[in-house]
Amino acid sequence: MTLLRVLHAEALKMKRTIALKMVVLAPAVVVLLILFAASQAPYSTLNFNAIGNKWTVLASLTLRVWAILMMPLYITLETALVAGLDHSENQWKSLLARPVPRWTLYVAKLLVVMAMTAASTLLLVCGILFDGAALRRLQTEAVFGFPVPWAAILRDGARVCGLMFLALTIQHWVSLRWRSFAVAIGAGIVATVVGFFAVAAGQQGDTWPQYFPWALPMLVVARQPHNIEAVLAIGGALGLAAAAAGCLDFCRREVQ
Amino acid sequence: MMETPIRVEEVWKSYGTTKAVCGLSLSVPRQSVYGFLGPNGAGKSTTIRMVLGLQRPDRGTISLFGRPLSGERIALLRRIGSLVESPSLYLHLTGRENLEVHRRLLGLSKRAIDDALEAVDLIAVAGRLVRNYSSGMKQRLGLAQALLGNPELLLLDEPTNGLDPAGIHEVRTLVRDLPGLRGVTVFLSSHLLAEVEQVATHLAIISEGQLKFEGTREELQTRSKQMIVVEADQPERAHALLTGMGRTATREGNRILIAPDGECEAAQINAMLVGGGVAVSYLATERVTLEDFFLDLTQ
Repeated sequence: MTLLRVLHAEALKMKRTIALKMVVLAPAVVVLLILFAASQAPYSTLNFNAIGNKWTVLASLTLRVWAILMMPLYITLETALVAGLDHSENQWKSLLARPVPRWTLYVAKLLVVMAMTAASTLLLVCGILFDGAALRRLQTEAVFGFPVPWAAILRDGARVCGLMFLALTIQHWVSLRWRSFAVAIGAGIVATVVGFFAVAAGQQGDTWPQYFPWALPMLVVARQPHNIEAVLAIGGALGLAAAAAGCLDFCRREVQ
Repeated sequence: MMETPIRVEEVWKSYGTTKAVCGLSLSVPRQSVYGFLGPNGAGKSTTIRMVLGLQRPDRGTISLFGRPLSGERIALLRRIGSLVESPSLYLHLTGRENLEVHRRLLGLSKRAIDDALEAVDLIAVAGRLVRNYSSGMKQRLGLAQALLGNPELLLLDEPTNGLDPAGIHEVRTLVRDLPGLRGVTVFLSSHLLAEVEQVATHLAIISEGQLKFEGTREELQTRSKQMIVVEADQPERAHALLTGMGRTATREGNRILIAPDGECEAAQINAMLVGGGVAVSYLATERVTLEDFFLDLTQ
């Protein structure tokens, strides 16, 4: 009940924020980027790739850009912006003096960022349909037939989201732990760059680098390993452990 | 039995090697306006943070309304409103929305927002974004936040910071009237004696984390009433003679301030100094202001 009240308060804080606008902006950028790239016939990946359902190829291409580039930067920015709302003006001395358990504040913020990430991914999936419809009009070579394989696209979108959970909980802790916006953003950018190299190493055949938290979502779109369910479960469990550790640290910390 | 809103017993707090609060004990009576005075860095904000549970004391106990803070923090915080230093506001939200965030946290009715806004006279601008508020309006909104839900205890840390004279007067009036109107106990921290002196019924003075005085305003006025002032040709020798006699004396340039210790003192001091070879050019019993007393305790 208290968590719901805190969540309700957190939702109001998001009003008029860049963080909320980012929910729409981030997937929109990827959708438009893919539309632009795919419409450049005959150089488009969609035209080169003669095998398979065009919807699956478009979804894979879109989720690939989302998973490797946009999403790590997106969660970096969102966690930093959400934490920044309370770091600025030192809101903590006012919030933590309220009769609510500290853990509810930590968990409510985490849930807000998770909800925004899920909403953005859902919008991205809708954007795939938009791109398919637009490409259908723009180029005759790419035939986007029916039915649309929604189940597979939604499943992959959900898996990308799920595999980002571990990185998100770490980034959430970093953003709340250090007041400086630069620390949160810096940590996220470094992790994203390391994630690029991890993905590249994974594509060269190295097994372990692909399990770097920021590289995990690429497993879905690049490799579709048979053990993806196990990776999701382990990633989820580690994410919960990171959230619990971060929450414990938050509850113990003194307000200056 | 009346519960004491705040009782601090032998509390210590250090940051690394810096001692912020050293064995502090306070007792805040119910429905009082308790002025908590001290220069910057004396340990006032640290004490307030510990009372709110934002920081933990290294040693000692804090109890609120007769219950230990460490065990019942959430239940006790329900009875407290606070404004610590500058108000914590979301600049991208309106005044009303800022209060709505806290109303949701407290689980209060919507009516509580209007009550708080009325108390600080901000109803007319409640729909305006806080980033467009003047610093005085922000301070009043911070006070409204603290008043949400009619708390029994209000902790205000430097509440008149950044206010113009009219704003200071408004806050002062509000603070003075709160115990009578709402039955609230106000714990008011400040480094300005003049600000607290006019509204407080009880006062505590701290310096370097230690309590220097605690009592009613009348007690403070009694203690700070008189001082014997001497001006002499050899102030150093005069000071040595006086302290050698066991008197409490402080030297300020060629002036020596002596705490009174009985009847007919001026004459005795004069005789003793002249007998000791010191020429006394001025000797009088002066009324020392509260400001002087405060400075004497805290410097």
